[in-house]
Amino acid sequence: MFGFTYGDGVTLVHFQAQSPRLYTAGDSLNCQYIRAYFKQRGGNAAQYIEAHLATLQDCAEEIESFGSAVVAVQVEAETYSLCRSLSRTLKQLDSELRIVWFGEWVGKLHGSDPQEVDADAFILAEPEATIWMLSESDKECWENSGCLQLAGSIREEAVRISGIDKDAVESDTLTLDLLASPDERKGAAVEFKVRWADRQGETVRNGGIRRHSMQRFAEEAAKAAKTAAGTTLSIEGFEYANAPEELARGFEIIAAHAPTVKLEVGLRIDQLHAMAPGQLEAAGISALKLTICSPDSLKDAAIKGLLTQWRAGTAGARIRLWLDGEMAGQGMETARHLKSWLSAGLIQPGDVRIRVNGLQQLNLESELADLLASAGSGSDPALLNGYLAYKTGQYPPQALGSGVKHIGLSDRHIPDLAELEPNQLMGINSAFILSQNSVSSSEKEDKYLDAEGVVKRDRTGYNRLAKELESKHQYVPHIQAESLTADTQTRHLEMSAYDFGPPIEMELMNYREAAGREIEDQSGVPGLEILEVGDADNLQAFLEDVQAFEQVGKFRHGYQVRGYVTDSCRWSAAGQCPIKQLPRLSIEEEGKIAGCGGCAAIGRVGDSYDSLQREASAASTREQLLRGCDTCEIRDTCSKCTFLPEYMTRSQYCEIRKRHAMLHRYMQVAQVFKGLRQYTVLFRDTDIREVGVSLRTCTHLLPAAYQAEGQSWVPDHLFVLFVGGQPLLYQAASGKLLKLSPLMALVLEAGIKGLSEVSLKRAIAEVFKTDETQAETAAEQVSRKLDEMGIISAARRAS
Amino acid sequence: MSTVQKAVYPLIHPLKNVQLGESFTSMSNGSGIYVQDVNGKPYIDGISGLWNVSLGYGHPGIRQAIVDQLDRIPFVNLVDQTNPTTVKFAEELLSLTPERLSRVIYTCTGSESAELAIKLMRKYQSLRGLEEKQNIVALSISYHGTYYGAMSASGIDQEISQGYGPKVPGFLFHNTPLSALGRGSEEEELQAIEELFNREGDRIAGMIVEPIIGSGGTIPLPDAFLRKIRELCDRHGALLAFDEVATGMGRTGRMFGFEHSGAVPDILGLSKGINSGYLPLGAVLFSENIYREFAAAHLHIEHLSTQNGNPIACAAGLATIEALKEPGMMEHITDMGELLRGLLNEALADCPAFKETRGKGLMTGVALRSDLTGEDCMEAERLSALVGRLKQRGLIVYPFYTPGVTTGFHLYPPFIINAQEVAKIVGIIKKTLGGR
Repeated sequence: MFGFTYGDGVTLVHFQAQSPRLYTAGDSLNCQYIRAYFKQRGGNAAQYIEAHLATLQDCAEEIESFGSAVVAVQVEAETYSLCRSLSRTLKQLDSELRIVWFGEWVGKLHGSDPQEVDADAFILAEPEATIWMLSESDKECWENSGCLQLAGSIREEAVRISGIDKDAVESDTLTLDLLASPDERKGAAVEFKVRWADRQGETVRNGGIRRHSMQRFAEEAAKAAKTAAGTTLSIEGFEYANAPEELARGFEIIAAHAPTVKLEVGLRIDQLHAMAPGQLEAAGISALKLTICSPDSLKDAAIKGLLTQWRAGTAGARIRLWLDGEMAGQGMETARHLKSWLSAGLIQPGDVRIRVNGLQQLNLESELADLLASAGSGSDPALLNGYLAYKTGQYPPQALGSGVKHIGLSDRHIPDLAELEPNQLMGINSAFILSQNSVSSSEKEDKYLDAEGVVKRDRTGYNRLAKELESKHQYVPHIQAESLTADTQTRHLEMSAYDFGPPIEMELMNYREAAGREIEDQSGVPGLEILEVGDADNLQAFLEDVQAFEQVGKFRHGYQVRGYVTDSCRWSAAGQCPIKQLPRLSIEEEGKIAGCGGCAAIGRVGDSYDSLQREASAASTREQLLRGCDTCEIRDTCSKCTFLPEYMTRSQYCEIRKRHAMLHRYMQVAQVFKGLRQYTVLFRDTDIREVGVSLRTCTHLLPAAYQAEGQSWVPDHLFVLFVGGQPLLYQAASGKLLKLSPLMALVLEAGIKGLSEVSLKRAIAEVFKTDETQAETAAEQVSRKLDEMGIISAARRAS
Repeated sequence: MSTVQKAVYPLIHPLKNVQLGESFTSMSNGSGIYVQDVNGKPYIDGISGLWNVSLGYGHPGIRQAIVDQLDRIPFVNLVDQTNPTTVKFAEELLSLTPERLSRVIYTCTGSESAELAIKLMRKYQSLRGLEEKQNIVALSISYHGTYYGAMSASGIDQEISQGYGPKVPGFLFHNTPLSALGRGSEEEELQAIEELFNREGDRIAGMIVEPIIGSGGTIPLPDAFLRKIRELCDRHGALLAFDEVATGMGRTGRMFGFEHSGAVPDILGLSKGINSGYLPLGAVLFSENIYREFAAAHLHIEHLSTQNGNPIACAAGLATIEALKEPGMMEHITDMGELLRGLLNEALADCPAFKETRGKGLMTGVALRSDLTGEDCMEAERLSALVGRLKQRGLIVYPFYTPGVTTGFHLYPPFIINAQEVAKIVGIIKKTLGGR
């Protein structure tokens, strides 16, 4: 077959939850089987792949552009809410589009009508053959069957009948259709999986279990192991093996790959009964996902003994438990047994998940809820990073340009949101930041499990916002809430309805206040320190710190590194003002919308993303023209903040930025130090006030008498640091931290100041007490060394 | 030991930042006016590959011609041998052009065709004993390619090609006539070029122009201007070369762009659509006068690339000509182009960023202005974002960004496009440009 026919076939959609409600659109084994099935028949099955999801509207428009008459969405518990919103948006775009849901979890939607989620049908079984059949026939010909539940019908129980040729699904000649797309490789962590069996068959006799031949399983395992070398290979479907000898044959096949991959295997806990001691070890299994349907199986001493022995003999062994939703009803007992597993070291906090059957909401005993919550970390790192980006205005470049990421509002503005359309405005992985002027009461809130299968809290504080949006069929991403603590001195930050453990404590204080408190130990206050520069006095306090840094090349206070300065994008380097991409919005009084909190409005609630972005871009362009940014001497280092707060005029802003030529460097160094403190022992154990930074205005080895001469030839991503007298070089581009010799450090400091060769030689001779010839040789050697190490090319230096 | 590691993604893409690596969409299939990426997402190829796949993907006639020639012989050394297909294609090309053009040299690319045109113009004058006539007139925003001669002749790339010097010397850049954009009058343009020839004519070997400025922003040169330069070249003993790499082979609704003005060149540079872009091929057609100078001196023409005139590529070219000569094809190209521009003008009339459409046949430029400042040119980052969104919605276009002159995007779809597909393109552009 040559080419393809536009509009034929199916478009497959599969959202992956990388962490709670942070999604990518990627591939899956189910999709690979479907694509392979289509390919074998000369059909076209396209896969929607997107690592950086934009707004729901954009996402739907792109899927529509594929042109397929049928869009098949693989739905799982974690993606139900998103898939429901996507289906609705797709139908609004094109009511003729046929949307079907598939996946094992869809089979659990007992009593649901596909129409309720704007789908035309649920695929109950044999997704490959059924979707093929649907793509080849007119919608008018679709009929309810054991494999298909059409919109307008409700299924009381799973009724399966035979009738569809399933040979091709199990054929040994059918090869999985693996994507070779760079987009797929760029997506979030790629999971390598092989399937031994699934439960998507159409026959009642064996519970819908479909099993590939051993030959095909062996071939797919070998291929996947080769690709996954050095990482984890998950084997799905062993839990459907009823006979021990079947399992033994499967283990035999995967054992061959244990030397090259970390094998993760899913089993039912009762299958362990029939296992011989040492069988797991012999198969080379290093991680287990155990499905548990009853609390009784958790107390079985023989099983615990077998697992203890396996753990002892297997490096890095890990067990994760998947509890059946029914076990929530026996919460106390289940929690008691799980604790014994925890205390025996068989599992770790966060290794227990629960599988919710269908759409019901399960109330949880608090003990079980705590065990199920994700290890009490207080937040998801991605959500916390997003929140900090919102507060500082400093977004990573890859996060920009696909819808608004954060919308900040106060709880009194919720009634103003009637016209807001997050589906068109906000990225799928975005968040509302709700500022509450009430005391947090999260301790008293009930915990439950909903269809997404994660523990949530019934937080009345922002349920109002969620309900307001859901009532208008808008997808609700995360809602993060800042609320007052009981003493009203600090704030709590709750990252969403998800139970991440206790909320994050947060000090939201004026910059001057932080400077006055003089908490100088490394740890500072507990939680986050958010430093606000909201008026001229606080700005002055901030600039005093900057000035001291410029003069001595050191931070004076711990909070300068620990703290997060609100809207610090204003003081950052060129290109750091994100306003043209509009990653954050703030809802102000009377439904006005601002691009930066407390600044001039760029529109009103109800305005589209395009119109807000156009207004923000126009304002940015106007400002830069008025200020003459194009010809300004600091144009290469200034972020050119568009929206200034009321306490600062544009001429004051320009004057500050020119007066503090190292301001952008100050922000960069503070950011670098945050990272170094987090990831290196050296910096964690060092008083940050003792760390020197080489600047154009302050050097630590090069005598101060040597004034800057020309342009720096040391690129901005290199930082020369001094810890306890030891010079270090931090390369931000690669994240490498290198020790430097004093001579190299001096040459780099000379480079930062743009010294001429003559001045450099003189400085080396002066600092190291050498003659000029030795100094010249030393300078040449350092130059060569920097070139060889790939730090600074000789050519760049020469230029 | 070297610390350099082999790159994970080895390919460097042309005219793109070398660091972009694997950020490019990987295309795996093509059919008609559509291409499909490796994930199965289809796109309307609104620029026919890179303006070359003029008859669309999977054209049965071209495919069969390639297969048949492949089975016969895949390569012939034209230095010492010849081949029926290669000769036949040269004959067919000449049959499409006026009598003035009588000989053919094959090349592999458009850049190479421009390169050869430059060489012919200079050597021709040299053979006539006019060693001082070495300069070549080119236009200030012209684009002729990236080989040294072609790059040196490309006015639009003078800045971007800095650092690659020394470039080939001897080019006189004349301000591009922009009366089509409402800047200046045709009279002034004619006067300006005449002044240049009057001033420099003794040193001018020839002039190379695109009848419709392509990369610079799809700007048709006035017919009167093209006729004027024909007249000036004749008057001053200079040669006129038309770079019809983009405009040739039916793109403008006539077989060649020069047919609209009636000004026939001495040298005609072709490539891109010459065989619908299925295989690398270009050609330079030139006049008997030039041939005679070489013949009189018993000289060869110093130009060779091994694959020039490859018989498989020529077989694809023969099939392409056959398709182009089908009754009604040129009318269809003209009609679809007019429909496209008409629908766009109508659909985008209220869009603040829309300036105008330009072009001939299925060579259309959509000019955009700044919707932020109202100035004539759209900001580069907004244009780039817009092109990205069009692609996300399934339409591939190619941006043009000539600061101070014009910005927008090209739409050069395959000739096989139908009215329904034209409407679909317009719908995507309207939805994207109109905003929400």
